[in-house]
Amino acid sequence: MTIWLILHVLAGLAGTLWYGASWLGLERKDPLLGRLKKYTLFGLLAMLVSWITAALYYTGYYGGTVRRVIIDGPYPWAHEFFMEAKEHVFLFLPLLSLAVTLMFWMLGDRLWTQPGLQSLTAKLLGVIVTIGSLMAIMGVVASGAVR
Amino acid sequence: MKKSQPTTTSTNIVYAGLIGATVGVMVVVILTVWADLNRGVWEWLRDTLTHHWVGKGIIGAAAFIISGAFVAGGPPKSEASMLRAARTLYWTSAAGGIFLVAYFFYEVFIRAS
Repeated sequence: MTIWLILHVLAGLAGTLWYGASWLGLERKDPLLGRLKKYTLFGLLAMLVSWITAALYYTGYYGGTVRRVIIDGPYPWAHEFFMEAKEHVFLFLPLLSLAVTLMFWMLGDRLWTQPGLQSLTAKLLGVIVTIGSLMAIMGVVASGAVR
Repeated sequence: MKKSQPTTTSTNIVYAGLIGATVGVMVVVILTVWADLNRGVWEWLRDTLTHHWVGKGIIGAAAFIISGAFVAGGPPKSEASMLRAARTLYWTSAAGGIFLVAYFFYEVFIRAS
């Protein structure tokens, strides 16, 4: 079961980093479309793997075992707040990732030639990176409370 | 560099993705609060879709697909519409995330104390 947790964390971090790289690449003076399309596709695949492995770990192990240890321990808020908020906000990520990846694959260089679109795309990438980073921090808090 | 030519198909697909994601995010937020406040909804998700969290994900994804497909088949979308959809997704996801964190914070640290 631990393998699912490890894969979930690694895939989530990878996805966040791929979208972070896309964000930086989009802000370049001369963005490289081919590279950005690959980054967003890898990011999307990573987020989907993170989602599936989260489901496997959460339903197969965390819910029945770890959750009770945290709630009965000295830091029940690690589950009641950090884990509950994390697991639900996480569900935004696959949806946002797919929408943004479609933008790069379908619009091409219109992303930086059409007025306003580059900055909006950057903001959406920023939301993905922010949520991904928060997921990592909240996961650390929840895991720490198990000890 | 060769400039992409705008196409109706690509704009419609992107618009559909943006609307789908916006609707999906809203559905996740509503379901999360509803299931938290109504044990019956929580149990329905668990009993029908194997687990409450898995159920919320499935329903959110279904909302994405259904709403996206609905708007993709509609009339050609303008560049301005696509921009509005991107802006809406940005504000919906940012506000939705902040709301859920604030909601659980209130439930755990304020209402419970």
